[in-house]
Amino acid sequence: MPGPQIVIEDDPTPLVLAIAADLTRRRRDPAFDDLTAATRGTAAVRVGSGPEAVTIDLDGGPAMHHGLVDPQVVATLSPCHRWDEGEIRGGHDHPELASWVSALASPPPGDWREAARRLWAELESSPGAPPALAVVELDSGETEHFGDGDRAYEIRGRSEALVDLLEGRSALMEEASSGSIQVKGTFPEISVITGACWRVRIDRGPVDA
Amino acid sequence: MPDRDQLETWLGENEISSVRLEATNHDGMLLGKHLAPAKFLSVATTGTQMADTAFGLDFSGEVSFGWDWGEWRGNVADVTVVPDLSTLQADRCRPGLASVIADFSTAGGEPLPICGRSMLKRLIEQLRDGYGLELRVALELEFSIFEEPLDVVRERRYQGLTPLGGPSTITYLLTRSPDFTEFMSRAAERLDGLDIGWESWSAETAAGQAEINIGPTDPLTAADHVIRTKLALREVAAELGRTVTFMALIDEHLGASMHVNLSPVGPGSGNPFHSDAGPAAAPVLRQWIAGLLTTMPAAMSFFSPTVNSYRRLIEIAGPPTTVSWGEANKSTALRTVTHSRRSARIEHRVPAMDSNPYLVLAAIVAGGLIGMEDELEPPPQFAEMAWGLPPDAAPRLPDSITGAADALAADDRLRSVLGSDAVDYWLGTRRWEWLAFHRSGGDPDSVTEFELSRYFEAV
Repeated sequence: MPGPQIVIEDDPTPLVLAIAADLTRRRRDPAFDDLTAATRGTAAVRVGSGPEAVTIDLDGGPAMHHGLVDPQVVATLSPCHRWDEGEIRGGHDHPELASWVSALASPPPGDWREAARRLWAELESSPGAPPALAVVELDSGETEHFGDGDRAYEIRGRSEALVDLLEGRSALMEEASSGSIQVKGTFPEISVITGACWRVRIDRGPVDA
Repeated sequence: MPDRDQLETWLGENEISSVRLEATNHDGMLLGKHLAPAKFLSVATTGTQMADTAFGLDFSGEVSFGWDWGEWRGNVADVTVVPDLSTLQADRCRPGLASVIADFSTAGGEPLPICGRSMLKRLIEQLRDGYGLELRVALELEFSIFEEPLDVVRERRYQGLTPLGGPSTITYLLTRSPDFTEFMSRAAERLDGLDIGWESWSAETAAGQAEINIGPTDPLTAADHVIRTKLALREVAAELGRTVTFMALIDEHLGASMHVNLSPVGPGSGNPFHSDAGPAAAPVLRQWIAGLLTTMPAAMSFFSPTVNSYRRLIEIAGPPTTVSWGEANKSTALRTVTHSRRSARIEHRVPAMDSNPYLVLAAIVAGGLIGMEDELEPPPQFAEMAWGLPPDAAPRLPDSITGAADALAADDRLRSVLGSDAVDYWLGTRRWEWLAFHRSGGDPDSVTEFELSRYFEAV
């Protein structure tokens, strides 16, 4: 990542950490990193209509701060932290900034196998983790298996739901309750896996905290 | 311990028709069951069961996730709730009702690692067995009372409430309106009925805010008094059509603390916190000060357990904000008052009112133990005001739930005394609380309806 390091506030909120992680990952794409370097102004993303929001000052870092701090454009994200092509407030006056924030919040579709691998890398050394993890993609019937214990925690779902879960964008308990994800394992293991998913989500990478 | 026949006789003599089993979870929430006399007799010595979710739900009732729960939890396993029969008492204000405080244990009978009451018991024994010291604890509890009854408060989503007693913010003022005096007088009667030795009450620094002082007793009884006092105040509020809350901060005027006054007894006669050599000169006192200060950043996680707790850290207008001590200095975290042989003490001024009193006192006793075991010497006392300082003048207390959790995670010495299982479980719950608060609608910058709904009735 050739551009300047991301600067985040002291005591960041979960959303600041999550969007900082998104930005770090997206900047590994040279085209997006060039776009970031060329874009000026202050953009914000918020989740729904509540107070959960983060402002990104591209003139100063990028520097990230919780809340809406005089942003020129605001993109509203879904609960899974994705922009779904709704209106970007202020986009008419600041089209380049709007384009940048929409690109940030619309990452290319993730690969469930890669997401499963990353989750296992985070999970396997966690106290209380299952000895093995099996992730089953329901449409293709393909399975990714990690670890070598005699019992695997099993997660089943369609590709998109798996990616959201394994990247920490959705919550295992909620998805299992709704039926979009099926699981086979113990209740305490849900806790440990939920923690690992969240750590994947907020993986800071090279940022200054 | 009384046997079954003695308990049965006691229940009959006091005409008890229901026994309320009272147990406190990690968040300081009072949990329990109402037991028929026959059921109480059958579980009095062995305990009864609760689902392990007693330690698994957050302030909004959602399941908390994110960490290794430990082997004592399972697929909604049972934990055992064992009455401490020394706390069994008939409620003189509630004919027919008795109450008993309980501890949590595993199915195998071991104290639950995260049970604050069990942890405090163990540390009190450690202090007694290792140093021959018995600690005496007196508490100052602050809380806010509102004119409206609870159903109205809920309809208003905990906002736009009217402080009881008028708009005055003058501390100690005796002329707040009579409804304030009526409430507190009824509260005092209620505490008398529960044999809780209150010493005084007074108006506090915010409109509608009161302080009640609970007299010195052993640490376990002191913590028991806190949970029973909070319940009693809620009952009085319901009777009088008022509402009370123990939130750490409702708005910029209503910070609430739980000050803890400590003085040891023994070995031998005299108060080990007093020395004829001068103020704050006693070796045991100095070791306690040093131990409490050394562990204070980490212990802050117990002293200020919620996101809301940290909002009260306001310079000058709030509690102490630095890791500091001073003789007769209320701006420091530890105020020593040592001129009197009889009442030489440390006043710990950091804990918030929304904290779990068992965990607070366990963390304090642990700090004292560490000071003595490691023979620590405190830094120089603070002779000036310890608020509004430049950054390099004194170390600052963690000012957020995550900052305090990080400090606790980094303190291996405090962990060694409190127990790793307990510390790790607690840290998991604090990180969940931070996450749940922000992702569910909490505002980092101001107390909103969401925050009031989350904490007003729960803490």
